[in-house]
Amino acid sequence: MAVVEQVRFSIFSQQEILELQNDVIQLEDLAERKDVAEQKIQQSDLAKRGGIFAPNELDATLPSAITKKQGNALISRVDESKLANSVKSTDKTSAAPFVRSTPFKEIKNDIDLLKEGQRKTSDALSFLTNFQGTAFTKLIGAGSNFLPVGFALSIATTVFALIRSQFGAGGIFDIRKRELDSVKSLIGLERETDIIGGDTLFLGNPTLVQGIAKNQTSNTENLRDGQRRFVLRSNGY
Amino acid sequence: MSNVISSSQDVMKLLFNLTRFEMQYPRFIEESARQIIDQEILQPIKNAMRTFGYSEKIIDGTFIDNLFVDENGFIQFDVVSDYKSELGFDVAKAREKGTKRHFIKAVTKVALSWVSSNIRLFSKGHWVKGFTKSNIIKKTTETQFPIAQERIIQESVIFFNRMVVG
Repeated sequence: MAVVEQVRFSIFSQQEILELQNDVIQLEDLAERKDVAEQKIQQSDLAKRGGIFAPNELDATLPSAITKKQGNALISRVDESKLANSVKSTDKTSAAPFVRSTPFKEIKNDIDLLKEGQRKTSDALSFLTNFQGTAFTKLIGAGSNFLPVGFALSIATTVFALIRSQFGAGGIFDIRKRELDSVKSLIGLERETDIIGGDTLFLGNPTLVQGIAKNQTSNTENLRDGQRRFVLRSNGY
Repeated sequence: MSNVISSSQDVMKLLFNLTRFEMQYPRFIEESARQIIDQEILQPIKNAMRTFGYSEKIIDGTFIDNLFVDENGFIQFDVVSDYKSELGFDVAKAREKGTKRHFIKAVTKVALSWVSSNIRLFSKGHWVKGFTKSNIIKKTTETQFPIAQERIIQESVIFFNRMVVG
């Protein structure tokens, strides 16, 4: 029985990281309220009139129809509906249902399908690839429009867990498999092909080398010297 | 990530950074801790063994084993010292924990033989006094523990700042 001394060091625990994430989620409320407030300020009558420092003559001189048109030009109907939705989400007494924006629903459906194993591996790969490109952009893009961070966290955690699992043994991103293939197919086969094809030569005569002649040495050196000797002898030297 | 959270988009980014940190932290801390443990625990143990005149075979047989990161926020590992004689006597344990006075006798040869004061002596068997326990592994681990723990915390904080705060 060998000498064994057990040691244990403290590091960040999963629980601590989770608590940090929960703290961040609590920030969501504050950030959302700030965004709503900014939207409200932008849409207020005061803002439409150009702020508190705008000249008051505008109201007096222009007809009300033109003033309304100016107001409509400053804010679109899409923005208005987004604001309405956000107000509904915070108003618990409202009877009208709050409808979330569609990108989240799409992503969540995709993840649910993946989790239930209803997709094939190739589909999963294409989803994971597209998630980086399109859905991820949607997620980030929609973040400016009152993104529910808790919901995004659940998506991010699930997707990252899926990607992480695909890096494991037998997964579609399993790197070890590729390394083994490369060792077997590229290095060994390439060398063997070069030898069989004559690109790599094993010769006893060191003057017979491949490629461009260096130091005035080539594999036709003997022929060249023989031809020179023949010419010289023919000329009587 | 800026230090000021000014919109829900900043919150999102912070959250993604935290998730990324959560994913990469276990692998990072395992690699990092392996280096720190080697520098702050294993090497001092081996140095102390050399100072106490341990044989190189015992020193070479001392290593870190079973290192793993658990989900409760701990890195666990064993400091193992394992060297047995040809007959199976646990030399490493004898040096670390000590031995009582005991009888030795020849097992594979006819008699025991050794040289003392330029005279070769033989014995069919005799009593020897035991080793005094050195407890090098236990003592050095206890001494070096706070240093290694401090370094692991520092590395964790640096990694957190790099991944989350930016």
